[in-house]
Amino acid sequence: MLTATRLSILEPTGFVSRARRAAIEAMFGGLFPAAVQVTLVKTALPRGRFDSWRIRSNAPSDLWSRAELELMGAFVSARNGCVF
Amino acid sequence: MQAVLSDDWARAEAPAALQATLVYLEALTRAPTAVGPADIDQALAAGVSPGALEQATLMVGLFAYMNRMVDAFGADVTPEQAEVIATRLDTIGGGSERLARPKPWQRQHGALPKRIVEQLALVRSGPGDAPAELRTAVEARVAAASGGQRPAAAPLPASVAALVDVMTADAHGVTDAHIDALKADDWSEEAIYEVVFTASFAACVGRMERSFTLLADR
Repeated sequence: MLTATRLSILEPTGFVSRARRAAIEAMFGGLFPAAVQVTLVKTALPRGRFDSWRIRSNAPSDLWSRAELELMGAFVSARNGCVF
Repeated sequence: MQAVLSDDWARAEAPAALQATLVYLEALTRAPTAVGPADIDQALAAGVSPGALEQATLMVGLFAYMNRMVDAFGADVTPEQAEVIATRLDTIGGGSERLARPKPWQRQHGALPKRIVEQLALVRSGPGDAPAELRTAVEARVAAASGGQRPAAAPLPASVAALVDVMTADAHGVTDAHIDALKADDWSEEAIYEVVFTASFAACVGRMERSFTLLADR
């Protein structure tokens, strides 16, 4: 969650954005993940190519299972001082 | 899991290859410009394949990006909330058969993924609220400090330099003052968002370039 949002464009406004937020909160047990929130912002800079890579970058392979990749992600995140 | 995430993770009873991979990921995360052939040799000697190190590198890049993006905008997530989100993500995201199905890893041979290369071009010259010259300079500055090879970057405005330098050094280091300084310099919120995105993306790309280059002929 973004508890002290530093940019107003991160706050969903308008009917569509609020409805989307409500749907996401319903999926996440009342929480609105910051990682989701920062990807919904629209600017003139296209980010779609990176977003598609980001979604697929932790897919399992013949080398690492999904559980191992998730552990690596949590490990790296912890080394970055973050819990998400 | 908790033992691996804590600082005494080396005592965790993970398989040797996974432990060696985590050692490599920690080095690439914390000091990417210091990572060299000896780090690769150490992991390979423990039985990790070059391809496995390539794929593991993606996790360093992914979280170099996500941690910086989320933290820069003021995230405050408790471990309990993170656990709920992770559990739900596993249910929702993991529900996709297409993404969950294992696929053979294709060696990179020193090259960045196609989508990353395409995004890099957009960051440097695509449309945006922040000027392309500024985004190019931010990308070069952060990527070079994150293990990538870049020519000397153009100087940045002081407030932008302060923000991206703290993001480079510490994924968890941005404060309200960093963002407020850009607002005081009349940067729009969209432009500030793009600067943060560019710096986060460059932190990802620099680390991936470093690792893939070192693994290219292995």
